[in-house]
Amino acid sequence: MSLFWGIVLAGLGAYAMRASFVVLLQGVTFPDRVIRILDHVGPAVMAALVVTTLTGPSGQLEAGPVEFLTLGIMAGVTLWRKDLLIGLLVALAVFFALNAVLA
Amino acid sequence: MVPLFLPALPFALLFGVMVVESGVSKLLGWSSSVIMFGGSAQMTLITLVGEGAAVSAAITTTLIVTARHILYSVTLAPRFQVQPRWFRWLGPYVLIDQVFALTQVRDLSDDDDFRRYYLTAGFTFWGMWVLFTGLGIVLAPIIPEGIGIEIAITLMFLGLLLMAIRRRAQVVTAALSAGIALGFAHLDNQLGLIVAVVASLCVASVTEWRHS
Repeated sequence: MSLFWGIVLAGLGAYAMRASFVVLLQGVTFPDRVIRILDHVGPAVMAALVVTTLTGPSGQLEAGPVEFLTLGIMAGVTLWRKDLLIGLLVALAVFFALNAVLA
Repeated sequence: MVPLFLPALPFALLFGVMVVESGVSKLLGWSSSVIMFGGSAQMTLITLVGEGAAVSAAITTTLIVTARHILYSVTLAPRFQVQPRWFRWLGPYVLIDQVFALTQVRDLSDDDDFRRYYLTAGFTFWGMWVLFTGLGIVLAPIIPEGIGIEIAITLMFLGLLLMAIRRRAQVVTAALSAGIALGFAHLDNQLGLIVAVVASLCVASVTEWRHS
C-alpha cells in the first residue's frame, strides 16, 4: 500500500472515531447520570496527557526541577486568575527566565 | 484563539522536521495535516513509515493513538444532537484534544454560542497547524533538533485540566488517571494513556452511579 492511501485511511479512521457517537447517537436522550459520568472524560484525558507529554519512550520522567516549577506556576496562576492564557504567558516567561539564569 | 495555538507551534515545526528526516515525500507528509489533522497520529504514521514499517502496520498503530477521540465523540454527542446536520458532519473533522478540552472549559450553554465557538476554535487550530507544519518542512534545515519549549504543550494540557474541573469527584478522576498513566508510561503507542483514561472513567462511573 502506498503512503498516500495510508494517510487517507488513517484520516478516514480518525474522522470515523471523532464522528462515531456524534452522528450515531442522534435522537438518543442522555440520562443525567450519564452526563455526570461524561463530565469526567475531560479531566481524565487531560491529566493523562500531562503525564504522557512529560515521560519518555521507556516511561521515565523527562522533566527536571525547572519544568516542575514551571508547571507549579502554571497551576497557581491559572487557578488564581481563572485564565488559561495568563497562566501560560506567566509560566513560559518564568521558564525562559530560569533557563537564561541557569544557562 | 490564535494565542492558544502557541503551545502547539513547536510541535507543528517539529512535525515538519520529522517529515524531512523520515525521507517521505514532503508534499505527502504535509498532506497528512489536511487529511488526518492530528499531531500525534501524524507523527506516529510518518515516523513508522520512515523507519521502514509496512504502511498497514503503521496505520493500525496510528489508529490506536487516535482512539481517545472516540471518547470525545461520546462526550460531545449530547451537545451535537441539537445542532444542524451540516455541523454534525463537519464538526468531528476538527475534534482534536485542544478543541475538545476548550469545549469543556468554557461555559457554552447556548447552542449557537457552542457551535460558533467550536468552529472558530477548530478551524483556527486547523489553519495554524496546516500553515506551521508546512513551514516546518520548508525550514527543517535550520530548525534545531530540540526547540526547548516542548514544555508549552504540557502547560497547555495542565491549564485545560484545571479549567475543566468543577467538582471534587473530577479531581479524584484526574489524579487517578495521572497516576495510572505514569505507571503505564512505558507501554508503546501511548497505550498507557488509554489504559489510564479507561480505568479512571470506570472508577468514576461506579462512583457517580452509586451517588445518583
